Order: sequence, then structure tokens, then C-alpha cells
Amino acid sequence: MDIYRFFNSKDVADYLREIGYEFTAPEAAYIVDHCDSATLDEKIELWQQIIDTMPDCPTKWNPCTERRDSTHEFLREYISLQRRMLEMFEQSEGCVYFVRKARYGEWPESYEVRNRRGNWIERGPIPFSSLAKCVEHLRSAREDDGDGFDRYVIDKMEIDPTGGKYGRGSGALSLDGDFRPLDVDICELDENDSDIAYELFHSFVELPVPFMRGDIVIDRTDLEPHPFVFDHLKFWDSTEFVAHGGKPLPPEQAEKLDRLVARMDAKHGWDISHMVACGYELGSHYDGGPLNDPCDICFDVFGAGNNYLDLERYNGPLEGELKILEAASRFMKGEIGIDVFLDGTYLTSLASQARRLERSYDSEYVPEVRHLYQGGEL
Amino acid sequence: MIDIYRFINSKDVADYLRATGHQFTAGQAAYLVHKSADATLAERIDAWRAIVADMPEERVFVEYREYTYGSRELIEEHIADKEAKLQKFLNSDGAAYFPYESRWSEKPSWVPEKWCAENGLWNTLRMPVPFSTFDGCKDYLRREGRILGNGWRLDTLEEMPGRLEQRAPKSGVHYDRHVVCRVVMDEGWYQSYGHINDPEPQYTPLDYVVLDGNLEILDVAWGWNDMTFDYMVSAIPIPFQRGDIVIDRTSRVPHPFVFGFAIPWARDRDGSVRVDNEKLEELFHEQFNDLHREIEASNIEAFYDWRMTAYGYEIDVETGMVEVRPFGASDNYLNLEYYDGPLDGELRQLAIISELIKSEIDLGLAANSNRAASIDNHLKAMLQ
Repeated sequence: MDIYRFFNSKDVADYLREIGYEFTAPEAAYIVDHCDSATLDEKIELWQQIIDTMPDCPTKWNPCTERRDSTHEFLREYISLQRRMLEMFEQSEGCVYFVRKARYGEWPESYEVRNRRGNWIERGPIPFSSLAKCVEHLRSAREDDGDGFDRYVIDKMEIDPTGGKYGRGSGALSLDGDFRPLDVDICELDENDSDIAYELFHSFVELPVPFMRGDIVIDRTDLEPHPFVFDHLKFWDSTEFVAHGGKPLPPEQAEKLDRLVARMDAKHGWDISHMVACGYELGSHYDGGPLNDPCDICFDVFGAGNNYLDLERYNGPLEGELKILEAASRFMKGEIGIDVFLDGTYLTSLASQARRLERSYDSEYVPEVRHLYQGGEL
Repeated sequence: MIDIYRFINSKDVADYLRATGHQFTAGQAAYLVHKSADATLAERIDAWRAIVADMPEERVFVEYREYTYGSRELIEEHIADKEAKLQKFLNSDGAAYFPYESRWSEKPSWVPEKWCAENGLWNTLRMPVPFSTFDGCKDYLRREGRILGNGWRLDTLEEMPGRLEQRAPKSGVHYDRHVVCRVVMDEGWYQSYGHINDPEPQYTPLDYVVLDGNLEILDVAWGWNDMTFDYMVSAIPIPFQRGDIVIDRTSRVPHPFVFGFAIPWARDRDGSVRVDNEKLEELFHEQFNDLHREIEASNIEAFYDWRMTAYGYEIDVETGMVEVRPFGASDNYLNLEYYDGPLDGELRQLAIISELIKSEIDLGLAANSNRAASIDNHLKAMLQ
């Protein structure tokens, strides 16, 4: 069973393969569930393999769920529920379907959108009376336009909703570029099904990762992928913190942190909110953020990345505002001093401001004004 | 006799026209009723009928039809067209209705400034809530209105998907506009237009009604807007001078700007608007023609209403820079009012531009003040 192919991050998968990490059944089940590219059929096949080949064990996915005596039994129920949810999503009576959004595999060069942050585009409320008709429309649009989408999210909603948030039977289905189901969600399940449906999604899994403090990383599965400077993970104790390049904490602080981590371990207190990766990112993904300043570097206590297992080392260009990340990275790794760090970020900020001015005047429609900025004679 | 002033969106324009005793032609009156942002469709139809009955006939050459009509014929055609569109909109066979977007009467405290800078007070759907009838859709909006009127409550908000996530209770905030669209089932598309360079491409359906806060129909649109009335209006005088700081409160994102000139006056000046920089005007015209060609070539039909455009200097919310937008600062110069709100933050630059245009300060003081204001704005933003 090749569990590594289900990792969203090649770097994390390679590292775990290299150190020969032995997965437990709950860890493997989580990795499969969290996989961004596997189809639902592939996931079901892998969960079945986990049941058939990996030792069973009890599990507690997160602090809000009951301890389960058997991971295998949970997975059997989970597989059954996934199949039922897919059937429920296809039942079209009294409902309409919309393509809520779609993702370009590669953003079309001719399609200019100011401040674009990701490859997703929202779609308008175009209703279909069945899932089959909706998919057929997507298929014919692909044949007509060659649109290049590699993901779709289809919503199903009750028409004339009478109760509940989105109406009974409402839900969402993700499809890949070949229109194969990746993930299905039904809004109104009974209590037991609802618990099973979200247990894996909200769970916490602790696995070793190769990242060191100061590494520039990116989560490519994010809706708006953006590089940031990795700092630490929320569940690390002081030893892990130092092992990953952190400066040793003062003894009192280290002791406090270790006590907190031990207490959380003991009561299974970790949940999905502790899967985030903390680090320094450019304000609101360098579109300017609340400061309207793309050079605003900030530490988000809610995490710069949603899931540390999705991180990869960023090897794209570090140009423009991204030079600030490079300066922060090198400063955190002790490669440059505080003077070079501060001067570097300041100079990058000035250059960025000048570029924005330049862009503003490049698009100036009055030729004389454009000419004035470009330094020629009037 | 019809009170035409009540249909003028700008109090300042209405007061000016009343003070100067402007005599409206039937075409001008019909156009002002057509553009009224607050009158219901029923009130407007009554007003058009009154114009037909009371005002003298005039001849109108409609360029795109290449034909000259009588104003009465055009107005009656327009009334019949609106009524037919409404009937088509209300026919629910094979269609679904969605509350597409709504407008807050004032900015709720929990809505970020940045949202308003991009969307105004419009709250556009995130998840469409479908209805099989228009009445069902209105019931939903009515229920939502009751909840908003009593203050926001978490339990009742659970019933309302599709809105900007609410952050905190705020009593007294209500919607004063709704857009409800009608889309045919299983066709796989709707006619729409997108805003050029929209950061998140939004496509507004073309078959829709606009409702006021009491769910009365203000307007109905079906397919592309008919631009006939735009040919019926000849330049209507306005009180604004170059350098005045004005605002179009009917625009989607109302923002003050320094008035430069309006298209009708750039073409057909009679002295009411003092456009004393002829070179600037020529430049705009040259550029304007380029733009028009570009738009025709790209087959974008978003420029039909350009005849009424007002140009001026405004602040780009993204960069904080002063800019003159090629599509103008306001779609319609008749909607402008003097801006009497605070001129702080980035808006200080508008005061500087205004004073420079009016020769109240020299260019040195203007340049230095502008630099100081920019630095101060940035500093304040960082310290927040």
C-alpha cells in the first residue's frame, strides 16, 4: 500500500519515506482523507486496504469526539457513509445544482484579473435540475472552449428552502478535471452520520516534518497559495522547537511550554486548529492587507498555513515584495544581522512603493501624463 | 403638472434647475424619470404617462435605429416594454429566482472598510438560495428584513445562507435595496456582464428586478438595457465648476472626486460648466475615442451609457494615488452632489487638488502638502 502518494506535500512524503516512518491505521486514514487529488473511489479503495492490511487500534480523533475502540470499524462506517452521501447528492427531487466555483489548472495568460490570489473563479447562479445535466454542461463547455479547469465545486440546494441552513438534502461535491468525485458533503445528516462525516476532517495528527525555522514554505493546496517563512508548529514542546532551529527558550518558559504540551497530550486536547503552521507572511497574502501595504510582514496567530502536512519548500523566485521573506528567513537562520535585515526590508519596501507608482502611471490613459512620468520632454 | 424635480437623484442639481427656472423638454423629463433611483416602477410609469399627456411633443433621432421618432411614441414604447419585461420576469415556468444581492442602508460596524471600498454597501450572495417563484423569494427577503429590523440574532441567522458572514449583533441595520434575478433552468448560462478588472470576476445576471427596502419593484431589466432614452436627453445644466468636490451617491461604490468635466458639456458647452483647460479636454477626447474603438473591437457592450459620464480626479483605493479613470468618475453627471463629508485620510488629497485647480494654492504647496499627506496616511495606517 503506497500511502506516500496520498500526501499533498512531496517534501513531507519524501522525508517520512526516508526516515522509514511507520504509520498507524488512524494516521494513514487521515492522510488518505486529506488528500487533495485522489478521487473518492481511490480513497475508498485505500481505506479498505487499511482495514485489510494494517493492525487495528482504538482512536480518539479530536477532543470533541468519543474514543472509538476500533479504527477499522470506524472506517467501515465512514466508507458506507461516503457512498450514501454520494447517492444523496445525486437525488435531485426538489433541488437545484450550481457550479459554485472552478479552478484553472494554469491561469490563462489572456485573462487578466487585478490582485489575483489563486486559480479559483466564482461562477454565477446557473441552475440545473440534476447533477447529470450539470456535469453534462461542464463536459460540453470543456469540449467547446477547452476551458482548462482541473477542479469544480458543485452545490446542491433545496428549492424554496423551508428550514435548516441550506435546506434538506443540500450539499457540495468536488470534481476533478475529468469530472470524477473527489469529495462529497451533505449539510443535514442525522447526529450519528454527522459525527462520522466530520471526525476525520476535524482530527489532529502528529507526524514528523523536515522543516526548520526560517525555511520559506508554501501550501499549494491553499485556496490562495502564498509563500511564508516557517516558524514553528503549535504542538511542539521546547525540545522539538530547538530541534527545528528555534533558539533555546529560557528555562522557565520552556518548562511552561512543556507542561502545556504534556497536559494537551494527556487529555487528547489537540484538534484541527493545532494543525496550522505558524510563520511570517506578507500582509493578507501580499495584496496589501488592511495596511494597503504589500510589504507588511506579520505573524498570524491563527497560522500562515492551514495544515502543516501540506507544506512544501518554496523554490519559486523571491522577487519584489517576496524579498522581504528572504530577508526574514536569513535573519531567522542567523545568516544576516539585524542591520542588514532592517535595511533590506526598508529598501524593498521603497522599491515596491516605486513600482506601484510606476504601474499606476503605466496605465495612465492621458499620454502626456504617462510621458511625464517616464521622464521625457513634453 | 408632473413634479419632475422629485425624480432627479441629486438634490443640488434639482435645486439649481429649480432656481434657474430650467424648462424641461419631454425627452429630458422622460430621461430623468427613467434614471430616478428611488421611484418605484409604478410611479415612473405614471410619470411617463403624465409627460405624454402634458408636455409638448419633440422629435428624437435614435442613432442606433437610424430613425427619427416622436417623443410620445418612444415613451409609450418604453412603458409597454417595461410592462412586458415584468410579465416575462414573473413567469416562473422552468426558471429559478435568486436573491442576488442586497444593499445596507448604512455601513454595519462589523463590515470591514476594505469590503466597502470594493463593494460599497452591497452584500452579494456567496451561496445562491433558489426559489421556484418570485413571491417565495420575496418571502425570504421579508423574513430576513424582520430579523435585521430586530437586530441580528445568531439563531435566526442560521436560516439565511448566502450573505457576508456576520460578525456581531447590530440592531437597526437593514437593507434598502435588493436585486432578485431569474435564471432559466438547465440552459447552462445566463446573459451577464462582468466588471472590467474586477478583482473577483462577478457576473451580474441581466434578467432581474431591483426592489426597495419595502420590496416594491423599482426597476426590471431583461436582456441588454435599451438605450433609447439616452438619445432623448440633451445636455441639462448643472451647477458644478471644475475643481468642486462632488459625489455620486447613486453609484455602486460612492466616492468623492474632484469634478473635471462632463461629456455633454465637453461636446456641447454653453458656459454653464467652465472647462477652462481645453488641452486636457482634447486629450480626454482622443483617449476616449481610442477606448471606444477598443471596446467595440473586444465586443464588450459595457459602454452604452457613456454620454452622461463625468470625469474628474479621484483616489485609487488600492494605491492611494490620484487618478483619472478612463471610464469616468461617475456614470451620470446628473447624479452629482457637492460632497460635504470629512476630507481626512487619503481624501485630503482631494482638497489639495481642488485648491490647486481653483488657484487657491500654488503648485509647490500642492506638491509638498500631497507628499506630507501621503506619508502621514501611511504612518497612521502602520500605527493602527
